[in-house]
Amino acid sequence: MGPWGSRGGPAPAPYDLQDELFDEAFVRRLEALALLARRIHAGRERAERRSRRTGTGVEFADHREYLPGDDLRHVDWNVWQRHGRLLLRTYEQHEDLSVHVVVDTSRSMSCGTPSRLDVARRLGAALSYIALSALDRLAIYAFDRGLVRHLAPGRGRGRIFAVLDAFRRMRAGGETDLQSSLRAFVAQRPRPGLVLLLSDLYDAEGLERGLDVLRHARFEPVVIHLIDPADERPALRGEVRLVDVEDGSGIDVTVTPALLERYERALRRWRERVRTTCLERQVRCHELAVTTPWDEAVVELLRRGVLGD
Amino acid sequence: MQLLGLTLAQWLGLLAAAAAAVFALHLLRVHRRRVEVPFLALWQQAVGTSRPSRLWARLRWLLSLVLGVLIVACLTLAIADPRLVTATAGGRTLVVLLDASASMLATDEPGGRFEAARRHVRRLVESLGPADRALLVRMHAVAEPLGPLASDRTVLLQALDAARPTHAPARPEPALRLALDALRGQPRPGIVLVSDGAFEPPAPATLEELQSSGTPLAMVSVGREDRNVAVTALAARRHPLDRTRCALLVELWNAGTRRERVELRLLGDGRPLDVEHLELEPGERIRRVRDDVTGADRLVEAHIVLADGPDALPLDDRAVARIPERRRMRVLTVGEGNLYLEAALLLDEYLDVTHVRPAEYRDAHGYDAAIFDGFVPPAPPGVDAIFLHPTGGSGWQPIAVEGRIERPSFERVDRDHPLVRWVALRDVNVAEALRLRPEPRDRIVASDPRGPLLVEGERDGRRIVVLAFDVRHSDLVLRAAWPLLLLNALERFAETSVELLASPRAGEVWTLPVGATARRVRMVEPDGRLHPLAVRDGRIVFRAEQAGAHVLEVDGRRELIASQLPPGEESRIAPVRAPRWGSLHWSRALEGRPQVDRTPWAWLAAVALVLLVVEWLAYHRRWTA
Repeated sequence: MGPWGSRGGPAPAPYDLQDELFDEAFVRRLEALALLARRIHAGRERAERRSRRTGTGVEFADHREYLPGDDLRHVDWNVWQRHGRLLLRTYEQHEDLSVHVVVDTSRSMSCGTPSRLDVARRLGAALSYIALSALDRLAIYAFDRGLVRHLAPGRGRGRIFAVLDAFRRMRAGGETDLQSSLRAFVAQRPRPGLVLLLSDLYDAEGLERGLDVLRHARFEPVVIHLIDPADERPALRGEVRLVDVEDGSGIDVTVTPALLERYERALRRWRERVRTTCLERQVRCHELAVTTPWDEAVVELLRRGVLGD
Repeated sequence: MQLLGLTLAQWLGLLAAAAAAVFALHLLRVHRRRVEVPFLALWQQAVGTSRPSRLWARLRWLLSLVLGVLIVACLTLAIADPRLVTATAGGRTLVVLLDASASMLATDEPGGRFEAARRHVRRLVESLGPADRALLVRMHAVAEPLGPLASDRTVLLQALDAARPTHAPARPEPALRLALDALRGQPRPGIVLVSDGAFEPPAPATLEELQSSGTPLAMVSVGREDRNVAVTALAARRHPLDRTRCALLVELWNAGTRRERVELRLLGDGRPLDVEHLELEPGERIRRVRDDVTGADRLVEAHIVLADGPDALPLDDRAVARIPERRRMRVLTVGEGNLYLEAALLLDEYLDVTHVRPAEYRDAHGYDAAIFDGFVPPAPPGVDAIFLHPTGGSGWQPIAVEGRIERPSFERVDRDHPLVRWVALRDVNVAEALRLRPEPRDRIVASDPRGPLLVEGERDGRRIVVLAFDVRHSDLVLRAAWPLLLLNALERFAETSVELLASPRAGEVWTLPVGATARRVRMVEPDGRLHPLAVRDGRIVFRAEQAGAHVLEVDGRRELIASQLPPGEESRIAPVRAPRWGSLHWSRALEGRPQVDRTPWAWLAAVALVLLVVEWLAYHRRWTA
């Protein structure tokens, strides 16, 4: 059912369908993607996503040592009879998933055609709708040097217009400070869950500390790294002054093929560092070219399990 | 320091204008295109620089400006052509004597001694100060200036490059004379002799003049080895009675200081004649005479090959000599009949003799020589002629007759004269002779105290031989001397001597008869160079620079002339550092480094170029702005 479909979908709401970012075609395409997401996650109904928590569910998860105060009903007596060890059976806790969509709105996201921010907003909107369709709890944030919450946590596809509104309000500006922004995110004590981080990751301080902040707060970060292929071979030549779009600092260079080669190597090293950082922390990282059509990108992300198993 | 290109004021003005232009260009430097990039840190990694501080940015700008001003300062100063005052004052005048003799062709230096000498002279020329002047002189048998007295290195070096070695002997005498003449009245004169020292010392008078002039003489010595064996002489002659055979004389000299084993090879007209192995002690000369040599008709060559490898001077390991030409001669005899004369002429098979009576005589056209027996033709015969008892002339007289001499005797005989070679005349009895009055240039070969009996001279460009008596009234015809005297005279006419024909030497002046009617005469040297020659009084004068087979072309007719190396000193190739010339002291001042013209403008231009490169590198590495 579409967001304004006749079968239980949200009632049509006053929404500007002439908006270039989220036009009517975009909204129609969202419903198709939601159905696709259902097929990908076939058999999973509401609240069936397994959380990383162990708790009071019915599905066996693991054993752990018995500690004084534990409920004796969960002691695995069979193990005790066989091995003489008191082990407690733990179960996966079934609960609805909290999805936090965090979008980088620093000035660097405005670069490129299409801009990374537009791609991030479309992807964020699509993934948000799919999450809402799966009855997950969804919250939307934007960050540059600090964090702004654009949509409070909530469930239900009826929030789709609020979601679109939230993304539509996002504007690029300011410098990137991942660590401070994610620290601010954690400080708001949101419910632990999935954090979809859509960003170009152009932060001189790096990604490591930001991810560590999330992991220590028991969030499951998923990095969607937006890449502009035009960054790899910029159409520059000659005497230019390069100015950082975020902080305004600049350097004078003579762009030669040799310098472009070195820049390309630096870019490859930096992307490799991002991948290594995520791999070392067991954080899923998906590189996505901004030139990829947004719906294909969403399908690809769903196939890679961005919204969980 | 003084400026030769601009005045100080001009230079300062030019510098100020250029510096102002550089400053203005720095101020008006075109702003760069501004390009926004999403992540500057990546570019900084690529460029390899960190973000500059504001102070450093200003310093970079200042450094760039300073470099620019320095570059224009160097360039304008280069245009001003600054020179050290000491370099422009008191220039010297040098005469450089470059030894181009045969010994300089020794191969004991890289490229040969001459090339080593050329390198020394080149270094000397390149080290001349801007006010120094030099005259390069090629020294061999004569002294030849290679160019003008000049301070322009280009002129001097071009002249030096054109210099060629010769096969002539080195004679320092004319070279020193030329140097002294050229240096007379010149400031700070000096003579530099670049040589191996293989020459005879100059005349004492020249050395005295050199010392009294106070002109320092320095020597730059070249050469390293002394090992050399030379063919110092090669001569050939035809056999006096059998002209198909010839005799050779070869002389070898070991001019080195070690014993040498030598293989002597003789070739005739390019074909091997003989091979002999010899051993020569240091300094030893060996002469070998080969009589009765057959198989050579025009040219003989002597080669030596050393058993212990080639010596340092291959040039004198070979010599060539020409064998006197064997030519049939047409002789006209004019007289009433003389059996003794006819019999004597029959002895030489190469004579075609024609006899006519005086009444039948018209002229001697078509003959190589004529013999007038008791008859004087009315006009010069136009050919070389022998006059026997020249009486009865009715007009022209080859020699004046002033009377008669009774029973003359050969009191005085010039035994060295070719006419009387192997001829004994002392005891010849003569009944009567004419009293001859020779002309001043005539040569009296034999004479009685009362008058000459045998005279040689020249009339109208032709040789004459006059015998003052009738041979039938003497016992000369009964002696072996009679045919020998006739044949000697005819051979002298034909220049086909049976003497050992000594080859002319390189470096000598050759005076060769070519005939009064010769028009186009050229000498072809062994290396193929052509020298057109002027004919004066039927002769040409040529100074040979090379040894070997020369070809004299006279109106298309070619004649071979074999010349040999000069004897003696040129083969003694042991290098001499400072020859002992009396009390002369060799100067050392000229051997070192005189004044060096560092041509500051070139260095300034080079510094400007280096600064430009530094600025370019600094700019592209962001050290300067």
